[in-house]
Amino acid sequence: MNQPSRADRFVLPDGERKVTYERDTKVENAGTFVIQREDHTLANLLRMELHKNPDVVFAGYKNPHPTDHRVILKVHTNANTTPVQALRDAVTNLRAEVSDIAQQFADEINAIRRQ
Amino acid sequence: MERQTGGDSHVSVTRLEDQSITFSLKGVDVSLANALRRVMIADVPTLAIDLVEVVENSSVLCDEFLAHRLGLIPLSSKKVSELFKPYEYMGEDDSATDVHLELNVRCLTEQAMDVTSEDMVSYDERVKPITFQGTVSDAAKPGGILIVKLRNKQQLLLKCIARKGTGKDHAKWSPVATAVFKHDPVVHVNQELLKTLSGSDKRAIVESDPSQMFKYDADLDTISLTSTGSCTFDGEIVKKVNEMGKHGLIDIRPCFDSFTFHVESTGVLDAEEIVLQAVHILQTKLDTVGGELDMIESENF
Repeated sequence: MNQPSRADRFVLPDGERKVTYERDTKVENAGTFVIQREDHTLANLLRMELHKNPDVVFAGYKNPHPTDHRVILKVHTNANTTPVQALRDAVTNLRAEVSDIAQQFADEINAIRRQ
Repeated sequence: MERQTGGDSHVSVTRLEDQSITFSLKGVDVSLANALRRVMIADVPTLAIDLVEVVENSSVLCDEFLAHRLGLIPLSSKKVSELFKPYEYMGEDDSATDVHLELNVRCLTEQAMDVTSEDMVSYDERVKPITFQGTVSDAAKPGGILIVKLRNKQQLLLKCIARKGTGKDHAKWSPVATAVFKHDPVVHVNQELLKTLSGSDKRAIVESDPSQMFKYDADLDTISLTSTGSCTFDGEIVKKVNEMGKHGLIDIRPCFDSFTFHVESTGVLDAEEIVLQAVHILQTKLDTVGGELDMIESENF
């Protein structure tokens, strides 16, 4: 059958990297991340977090095609940082925020359960 | 400039039931709220029937039709963390991925017989079809989910395999019936302008709001906010105020970093379990990218 495998959508093919980075050949401190097997859930989250960083000049993403299970994240920063460092900071900040939410939510549930 | 990091967020659970939860999430970006919602819908794993072997089917529905209906039956998924998704598991042991269920019924009466999810026999007592448990009202009768009706001498013998999966693959694996969030409203009432209105006008304003957010207090001759939970941002009250020529008396706007979530489970997992798992899945996603960035850094610099 001319149909891609169902698992294609979430299984990383052999030898493929989850995240790849390519520096822009013309612009300093700019580059493109390709995140395999992820969608708007993660890409939009990273993009908005990058926008909070004053050193980030541009951050945008696209999902090239609905059956193309990857997102392309373009980041351009000023000289204070690099795209890799900016994304690293974004991930660290988000990780802290999400952990905080997880902790608070679990505490709330436990408090209700104890009553 | 100070960078915003974790610590500003605030979570509080307003209502918790077995199958539904309402909670508020404050101090986070919309993208995080939306990521959480999307993960709950598409990335929280559950169990659902994925393969059906039809041994005998003399019912009026064709095999594919039955297989599709069986797939959509919610199965209690407490066991899901002990199982592997078929494409994750490389071993030989089928019990690591599969849970077997069987449907074997034959109609022996003259009257048509209902075949429901309660007729299914599971080979694992922790995995069984969810039956309707809510309050008994009008048409909703407690009992299993109707799969097909059989006439006299019609028979069904189906062997089903339930597997772990996520809503991204097929909606039958989605653990939520509802997963929504809305912006909390910020309401401003211009008290100076309010004083220029008569009591009946104030009452008319209160009554013009379909979401009934305000209440008129006759003793104090004033209107007060009772609850913002029902706000739908329909603009009706603002329209009414403008009709009266009192522009700017009441202003209702969505707050961009404060959300109310409402999550209803299909019954396969407890509602709070779905939210908790979704948050952990989001953490895992971020950790994966973080780990990959370490590798990129070590290669490039």
